[in-house]
Amino acid sequence: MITLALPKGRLALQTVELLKRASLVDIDISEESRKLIMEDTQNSLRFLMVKPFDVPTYVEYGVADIGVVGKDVLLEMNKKVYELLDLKIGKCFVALAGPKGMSKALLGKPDKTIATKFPNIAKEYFENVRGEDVKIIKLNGSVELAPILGLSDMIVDIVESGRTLKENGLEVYEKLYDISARLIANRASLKLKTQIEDIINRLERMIEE
Amino acid sequence: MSKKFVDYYPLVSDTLEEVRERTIFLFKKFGYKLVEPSTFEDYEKSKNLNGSNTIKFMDSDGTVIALRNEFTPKVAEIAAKLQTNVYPLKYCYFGRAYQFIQQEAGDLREFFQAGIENFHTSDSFYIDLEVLALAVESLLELGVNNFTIDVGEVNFFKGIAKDCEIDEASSEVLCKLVDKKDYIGIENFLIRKGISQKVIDIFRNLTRLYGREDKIKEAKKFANNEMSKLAIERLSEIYNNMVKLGYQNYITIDFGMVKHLNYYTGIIFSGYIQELGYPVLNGGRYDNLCEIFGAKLYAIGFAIGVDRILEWKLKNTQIRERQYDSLVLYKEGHFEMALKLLLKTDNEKQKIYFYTVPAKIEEAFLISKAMKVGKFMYIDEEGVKTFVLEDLE
Repeated sequence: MITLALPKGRLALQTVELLKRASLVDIDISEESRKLIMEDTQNSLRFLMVKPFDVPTYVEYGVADIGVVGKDVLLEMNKKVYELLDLKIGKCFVALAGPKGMSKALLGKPDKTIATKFPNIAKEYFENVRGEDVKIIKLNGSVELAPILGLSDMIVDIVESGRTLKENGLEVYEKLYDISARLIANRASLKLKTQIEDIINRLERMIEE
Repeated sequence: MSKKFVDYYPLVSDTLEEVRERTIFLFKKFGYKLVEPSTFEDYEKSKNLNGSNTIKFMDSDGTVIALRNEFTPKVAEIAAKLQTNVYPLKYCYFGRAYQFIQQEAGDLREFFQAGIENFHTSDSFYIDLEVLALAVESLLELGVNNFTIDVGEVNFFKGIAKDCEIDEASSEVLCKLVDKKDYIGIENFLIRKGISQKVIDIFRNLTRLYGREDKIKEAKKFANNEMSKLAIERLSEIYNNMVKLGYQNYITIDFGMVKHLNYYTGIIFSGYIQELGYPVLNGGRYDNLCEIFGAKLYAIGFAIGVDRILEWKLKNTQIRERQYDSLVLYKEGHFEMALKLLLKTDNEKQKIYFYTVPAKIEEAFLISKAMKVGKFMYIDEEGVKTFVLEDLE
């Protein structure tokens, strides 16, 4: 039995769709279901529905053998897991954004405050790429509010269509990283459970098609 | 967040003691001598090795000293300083090490390590083989069954990196990406460096070169340089011999395992248990370390993460706290006799509980009943009498 940790929400549904197409599962999961564990005994697969930021943790400890999670979360958490596949779903990017038309003024400001769900990514970017020491405020969602209310100058956040930014009077200043969903694996599981290799190979063929 | 204080209660302490006895017994069987290195090390010396993540203090003379975060450098120093003609020099150890930051799952601030180091004056594949066999036997001795010792060879990676003319700084970054099997990261990194697609493909494939003997064959496709070829040969020879020794279920190969580039010089390995997500054993060949301490010695060793073994044992095996089967009690005024009796008993397995304060015979019965022992010895003016609780009831 292989345990797969999925991030609750759209990415979980997309992943199951992908697994189905690769004939690796034949169960349905719906967004309304409150079940946290689902089993496909026929294919000896078990699914855990967890928060995206918890996926790497479940996998690192080995309670889940493999997991699917966005590269943004992996960059932020930096856990000891294998990153085996780019599933090419959940595509978006991490961006530095702020109030429309203010980029020059704000990027030139000596004392910056950044609001973000990704303090490590933000810190790494400002320290290593821009060589700046900035104040970082960690928020857990609706990060776009911070510059509007004056809590921060700019934000570091994931951008998909850019609609949320636009509707809140913000724009992308700089694109930091391209993001997509990754298949990750626990180190011990990959070495001791051969079923994982089969899952990887079939998924990889599926993606490349 | 890991624990601030790592206390062991009797049940865990007993298990720890058992792990110590079993590992040291086995290490000694293989000819390894026990050493007890200092808890402190010179921070200036250790920080370049593996010592950046240490707990540091200011010494009275103004220098910085650190608590050891592993045993290997200290044991290597002892080996380098010892005057001897007899090699291989074989040392083992068991003790606590300390670290400042707990970076990964399973890490503790203070933790026990059991390990061995083998120092020698010329490189030999038999030494690699002995050390790997000992690694397998150690885990078997500790009662673990479903495990693998995953073996790699850093020169495979080093040879390819050199052949592709990748500079040292980039190799370091690349090594971390390969170790994580992050082929997308590898691709992005190499594209940014302006490296050809052919080379990128080689490094990408490196992340899939793990498994059993079929991977050795596959690895040959990527090794066009002498260094990598030798690495494959070494690994292949080790693998075949481990199979011959009957260890085929306990060994796997991973050419994509690289760990720290400038520390290891040959084979490297990690032990994984199925029920635990993180390695319980780590080791490898480090032929350059002793030079720092003034001796040219080849070396290989491993350390068992004892706390991880304990965690596994407590979760997956039946461990019960030691039960007493009898009590020694005495009447007021007979302490001396009772103590003499206790000293005469064979209490190696801690089966007898000495009740320190005097007790009346009725109390002795109730205490024994409460402690759920089968019998008790009672000392009074008439001497020693043994009572079986079943008979009394």
